[in-house]
Amino acid sequence: MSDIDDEEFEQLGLTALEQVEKTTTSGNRPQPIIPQKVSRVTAHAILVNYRQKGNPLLPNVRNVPWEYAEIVPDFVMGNGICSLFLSLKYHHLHPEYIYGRISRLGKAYNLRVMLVLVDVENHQASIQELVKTSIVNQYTLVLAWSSEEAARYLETYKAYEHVTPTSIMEKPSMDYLSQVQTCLTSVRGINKSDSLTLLSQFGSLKGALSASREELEQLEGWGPTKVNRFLEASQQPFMSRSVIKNPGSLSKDI
Amino acid sequence: MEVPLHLTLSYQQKIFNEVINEDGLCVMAPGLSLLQIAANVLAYFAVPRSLVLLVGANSNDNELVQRELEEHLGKGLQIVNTETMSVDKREKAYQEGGIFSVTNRILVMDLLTQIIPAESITGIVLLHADRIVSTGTEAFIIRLYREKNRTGFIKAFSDDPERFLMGVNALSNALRCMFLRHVFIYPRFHVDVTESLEKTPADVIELNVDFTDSQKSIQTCLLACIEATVRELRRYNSAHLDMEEWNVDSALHRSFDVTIRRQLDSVWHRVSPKTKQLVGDLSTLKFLLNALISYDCVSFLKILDTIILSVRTGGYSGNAQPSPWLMLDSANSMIRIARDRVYRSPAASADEYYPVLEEQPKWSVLRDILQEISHENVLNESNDPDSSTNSILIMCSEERICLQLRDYLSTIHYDNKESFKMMNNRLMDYFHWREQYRNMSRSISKIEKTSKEKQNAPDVSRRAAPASKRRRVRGGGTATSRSTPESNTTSENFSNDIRLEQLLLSQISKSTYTQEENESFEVLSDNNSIYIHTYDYELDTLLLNTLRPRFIIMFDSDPDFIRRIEVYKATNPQRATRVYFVYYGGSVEEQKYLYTVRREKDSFSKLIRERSNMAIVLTGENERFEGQETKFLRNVNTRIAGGGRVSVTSEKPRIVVDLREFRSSLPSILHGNNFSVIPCQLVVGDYVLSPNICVERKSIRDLIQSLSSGRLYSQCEAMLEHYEIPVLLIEFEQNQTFTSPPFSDLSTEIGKSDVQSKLVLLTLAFPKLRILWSSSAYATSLMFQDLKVLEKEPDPAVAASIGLEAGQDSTNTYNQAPVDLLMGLPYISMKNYKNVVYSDLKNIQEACEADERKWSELIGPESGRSLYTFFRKELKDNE
Repeated sequence: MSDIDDEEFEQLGLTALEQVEKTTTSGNRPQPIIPQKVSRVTAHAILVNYRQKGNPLLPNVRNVPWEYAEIVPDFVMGNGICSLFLSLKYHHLHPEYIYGRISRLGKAYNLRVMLVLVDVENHQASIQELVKTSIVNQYTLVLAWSSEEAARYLETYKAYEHVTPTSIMEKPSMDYLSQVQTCLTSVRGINKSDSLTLLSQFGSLKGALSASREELEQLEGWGPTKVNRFLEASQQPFMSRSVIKNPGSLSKDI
Repeated sequence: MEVPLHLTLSYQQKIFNEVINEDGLCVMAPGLSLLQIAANVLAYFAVPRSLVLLVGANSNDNELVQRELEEHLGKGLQIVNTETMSVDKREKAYQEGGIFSVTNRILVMDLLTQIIPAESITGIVLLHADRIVSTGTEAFIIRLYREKNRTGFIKAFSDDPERFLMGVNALSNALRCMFLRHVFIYPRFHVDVTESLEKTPADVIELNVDFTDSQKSIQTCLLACIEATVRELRRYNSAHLDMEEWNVDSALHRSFDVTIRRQLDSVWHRVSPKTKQLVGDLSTLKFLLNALISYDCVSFLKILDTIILSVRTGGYSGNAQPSPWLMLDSANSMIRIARDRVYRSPAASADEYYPVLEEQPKWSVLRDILQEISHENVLNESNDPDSSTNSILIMCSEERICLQLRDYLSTIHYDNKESFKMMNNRLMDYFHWREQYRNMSRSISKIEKTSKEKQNAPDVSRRAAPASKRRRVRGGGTATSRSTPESNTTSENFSNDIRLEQLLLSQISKSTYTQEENESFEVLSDNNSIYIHTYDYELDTLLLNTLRPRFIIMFDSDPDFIRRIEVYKATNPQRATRVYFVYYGGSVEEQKYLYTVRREKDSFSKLIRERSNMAIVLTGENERFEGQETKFLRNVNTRIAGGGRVSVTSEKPRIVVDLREFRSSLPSILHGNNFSVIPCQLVVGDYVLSPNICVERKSIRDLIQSLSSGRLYSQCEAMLEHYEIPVLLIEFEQNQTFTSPPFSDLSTEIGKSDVQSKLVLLTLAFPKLRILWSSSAYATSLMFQDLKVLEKEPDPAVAASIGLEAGQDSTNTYNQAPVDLLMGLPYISMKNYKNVVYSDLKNIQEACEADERKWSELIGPESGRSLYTFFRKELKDNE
């Protein structure tokens, strides 16, 4: 936490405390905190619900600062991003717990992550149940298999809060050779050294893709299966004539 | 009605009768004319107005069965695939009846959409029954058939006994999938078979050829490399693997690398890249062992060069380690010897080179055999169609050996060094190729260098050879003193290469013959024709019957073919046949041959035992389907309890499934769980559960791949645009460990390339995206059930039209392979690929030819231009 300006930190902390005091004094029961206000506070840190004290994942949150705060979800990772944490072991003992938390949280926050720690052997039934719950209540379900992994998810959410997802939006930019390899190896059964063989033999990608059966059969390391697969990819038409009936007529049939 | 039979041997008739009388699985030794028997079975049942299906046949099978039916049995076989018949035509043809061979993919569609009425199928003949798995397409087909038709027959054939012994209860599981109870087993050592075949043994001459010394040394080196690789594998994976059988001996068997892969499969996504590399290396080394036998010395050197270049770099990213076997001394000397076989410099001076061009020892043996034959041949000459012709059949294992021999036979001269001319040509080709290779190698080195410079900044040395440099930096202390094969073979030599090439070329031209070609192989008289063919499984039988050769030279060993000769000989005892069997004694070839024969025998003995001990499947077909019906009733009940829909119809819950998904096991399992599965060509999503819910299925491997290629992002974008609840299904394999792929390193910073990081980015970008984690396809099916409870049924017509633009027809379907290749191209994205698919460009080859303007129209001016140049870019432009 050393990288945070002390003064600023104090200030932020104060606002948070004031916020908490206000809400606690204003009524008998604490009102849910409005996420937008909290988010100003969380500019640098993950907010952690006091409930989570003692959770073994906390010591593993190292790359991002975190602090306790009076919040409804278990963690707040950013503006409108929150998370409920559930260990399957706990879930098996107290199956109703998570539903209480879900109904308290309501529809606040834009992205609600249900972070589930899979720490039991027979998980299938409970995961099936949680999948359904998460869809009905509009949660994004994330599974982790260890506290370290769970912590890493939280860190990543915080760290990537404002990152634009370019790295998953388009093909990574590559040099020519890797581009050719990516393209050729997308044919089933063609590996990296096959793609080099092709390129070195035919000079260019166009040459490789226009190769005939006879030419391919003479390549080192190319058996009939490989040749057939490659030709299928390079020569078969993109579209073929109707394999199935018109879906319109299907719905009438069934 | 009497059906003409075309089976001469008594064991064939016996099998036929057994199969006809009772449904069952027939396992035969390969080479015992399985297809001929299958064809007779098909013909027997093909009475007018009956509909008999041949399932699981590949194109070779189809060809042979078709010929057998047409020539000897007076029936026809209609082959159905996407190219031959459209939906309407198929529907009509099925109604008319006959024998059909349908590709699995189409047959599933046709059964699901009722184009084939399952009730009216007379029966199914299933080939390659060993491939059946409970969740596979074949099993799905049989289930769809049996569900509606309990009286039709099912006859299954296989000639691969080993596959029924892999895993626990493999045989009874396979039988259950096929709804069969009986197994007929016919190994080569079956009494009836032996009796039929050994009456008229063929005249066999075995010729044991020795490897040359250099071949021997290379083989030793390769085996050492394999051993080292296996050792490394053990070291890294002692936890996952049962390594009892891991030794060099079993490594020679064809399925060794496959077996290892299978053992690792359950943990494959968690296995370290190192291990993956090692498994890949094993396949590569095994391939080289084979190549040593079949490739001539120049081709061997060429493939070795290519392999070294590709394993040197490890992964695509360029930051992987080179393969460990490359570091071995053995690898080093192997490369040296392989080169010395081609050209050599006298010890004294390094500047002079001369071509060596070692011959394959089998070549001269072949020449001797041909000479011997030509002497003998003068004696008998006959035109009787029943006796053998004087033709000579040479059988080899690969197309390239055929070409090699063709070249060899057409260029050899009597007393000179025969193969010289051919080899010279090859050497010239090699040097031309070398040029390309150099460019490629250079650009790879460049990539290595840049990635290196990014990582460890200034300590890059200024030495000329980048490859050796990278080794020094990464390989650690132990290897530095040794000279490494990479530096020896690839980089350092490049500077020499051009000079060397000129030297050699001058040498070659000096030594080429002054003689003309007119003398080429005169040992053979005119009436001899030589046919060179590759082993082609069942088609070989056809070949033997058409050629009726008097002399057969088995240039490579193949146990199946020996049986075919036996069958051929037994069927035509009057034809004189002599077989020459050429093999390298003491080589991997011999060992492999013996191993295969022994292994097959063992498998049959085990299979016979297995059959006698097999738990008999008492749950008959009726019970199976009753079970399903009760389950269905239960489903209905839960739906009432859910309270979502008051009206309970007898209609099954419906799921619209994309055609491409039929490769996976989920559709079959969904159907088994009593969903009505509707196949459609979907543009958006893989499964549509309701008008609101659309699911994109990803296996762990797909997930990793599609996250980094940007494909998943676009898919989610599209789903979000059209559906209320877009769902990403992350599905693990049934026997895979249910744990995510490991983070690169949890102790350090957040890794940008981790799947998890990308998943986080994805959920941040699409807060409405739901994620479904499923440990297996079975679990998925249960989850789908849950999700559908409160939802309306989807409309396939609507689902299929989503994402299509005007003028794009939803009844046409993509072909997977070319579209995958298209998507692999740079500048082609999820958004613009459809423009290409629906354009007038027919296939990839036409796309290559398209001009710049065309591309600009299809994918935009900038990408269009780039892609146009990308296609045409040549390696040498890279500098």
